[in-house]
Amino acid sequence: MQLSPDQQQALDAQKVQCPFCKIVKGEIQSKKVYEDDKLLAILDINPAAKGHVLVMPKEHYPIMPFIPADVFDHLFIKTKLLSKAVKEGLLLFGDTIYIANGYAAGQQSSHFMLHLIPREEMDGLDFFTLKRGAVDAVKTKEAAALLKQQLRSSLRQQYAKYPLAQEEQEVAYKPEEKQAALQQPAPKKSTIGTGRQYTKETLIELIEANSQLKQLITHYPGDFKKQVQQNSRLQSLFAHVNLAEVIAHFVPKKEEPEEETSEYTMDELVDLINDNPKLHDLLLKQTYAFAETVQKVPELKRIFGNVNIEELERAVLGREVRQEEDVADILETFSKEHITSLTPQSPIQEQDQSIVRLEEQEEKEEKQERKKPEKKEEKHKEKKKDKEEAEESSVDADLLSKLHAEFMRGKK
Amino acid sequence: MNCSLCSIAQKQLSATILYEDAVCLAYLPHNGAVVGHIHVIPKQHLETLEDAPDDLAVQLFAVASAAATAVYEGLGCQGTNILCNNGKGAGRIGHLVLDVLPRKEGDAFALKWEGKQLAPADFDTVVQAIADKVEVFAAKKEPAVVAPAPLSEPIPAVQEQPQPPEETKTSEEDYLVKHLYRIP
Repeated sequence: MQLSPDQQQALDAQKVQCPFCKIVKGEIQSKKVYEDDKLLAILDINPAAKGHVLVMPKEHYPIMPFIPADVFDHLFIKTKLLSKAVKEGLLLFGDTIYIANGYAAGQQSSHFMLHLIPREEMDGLDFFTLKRGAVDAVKTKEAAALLKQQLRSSLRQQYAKYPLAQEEQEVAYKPEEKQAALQQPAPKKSTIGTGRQYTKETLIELIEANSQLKQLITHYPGDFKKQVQQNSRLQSLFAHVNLAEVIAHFVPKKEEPEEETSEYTMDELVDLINDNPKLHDLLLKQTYAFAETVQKVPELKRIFGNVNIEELERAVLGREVRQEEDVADILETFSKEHITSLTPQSPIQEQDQSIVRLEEQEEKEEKQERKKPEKKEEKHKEKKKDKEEAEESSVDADLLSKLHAEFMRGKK
Repeated sequence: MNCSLCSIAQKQLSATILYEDAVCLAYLPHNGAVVGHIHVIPKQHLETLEDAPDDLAVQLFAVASAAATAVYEGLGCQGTNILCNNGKGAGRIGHLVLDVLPRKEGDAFALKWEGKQLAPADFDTVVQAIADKVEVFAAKKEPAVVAPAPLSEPIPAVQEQPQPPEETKTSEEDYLVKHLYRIP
């Protein structure tokens, strides 16, 4: 990194004061774990855990981007080695590698170093496992555009070793129908010619003529918008009209009769999820998959459709999990309810009943036993329909059969 | 294998990908801790950093570092953290992830620890335990290249003394291996 004379001066002043430079020179004593011509690894005198190691370049670099490529490579090759040594030396199964750039990030010394903190369960350092919050999707999108550029340019300045993969795109999971529909507008454009500008009316006409495309816009206005922004040909096609207006022309007419409002309030949904650990896990760990499944399966959409999944996740995180004693019982009932909600025939009223059922467990047990075989059949149908969902429901099926077996044993 | 990060790497799950090359991937997780929280992952399913070859380990951190710079300049934060929970003990089960976090003063992260007081003897035993392992691993690294050299020389201890300027050029592994041979 190029430094201005002022910066260089400031850096030199820093070096004189720096206690870690003195440690490197041997003016201050330290417990050395490893040393070579470029690096020094010592024990932290104020460790987060026994065996907390500081790995630093011998030269004084204030933050990570200042480190030249050769030292950088060496540093992380040795970090890898040291991490292994720490784990095996202390007979532990984990460590946390922690780097702080800047005071706000918790950097305590102006000499760059990285922390190797040996970890074990219940060591009181759980804060290193980051809490998953649901971040604002719009802001994330804005950030993404910015960061993509920045990351490339800063990597180019630094030490990229591998060539970039070819112009990557956000690859989304799409139903076939949608993809087929998407291919339609492109040829259309070529037949009419490139130079023309389309007015809103002509575009609407064109879309009306193409039932697939029309369906796409009606059902997935968000995706349609996204695709238009990503595809340069589509973009030029829609360049001279307000996309929102075009979408608005199609959406409100059809949407109202088809989309039913969610019968559940946020609180009820949170209860629903909190009571089912499997569902809970799925939501928190694979929110994306969850959201996508919800969008694809109409039955699920009816339950979760009007709720922002990320908001839901946040709400779930905010709640306390139920006590373990209850879990087994609730697991049983809810795995069933979950499946009920997945079955194609189940009307909303039945789902409503399922909530009532929660509170009246004894009545339920009888019903569930009777319903079980039916449900399984339905489940098999579902499997064929949707892979991802199949994973979900098959898990529940296993669970269900186990619980059922247990239950029967208990009765005998 | 049912690993969500592998699915992201294979493009089966959609994600906001910021960077991609032959071996690693940087993306914005949809449920990040904060806007601008970046994940850097190897494409291959690795569970710990030690499983990664040297090149990959370096590349992961290079991308993480570039991501940190990008976050710093692009989002106007005041600092960045790079965090790697490496292994089960650190609470990470499954695909290795480096977290890049934009930080601002007074934000919600509390990545601070209270220093523990250890007896001086503890420090010594720990140093010894780790340093021993380092020596073993360092020696293991290039056995094929280095091992024959001292063996073929009948009196390595004597010959090494006139060569110190050259010695400094050789890598640490060489030095440690020779050092080991010299001990008996």
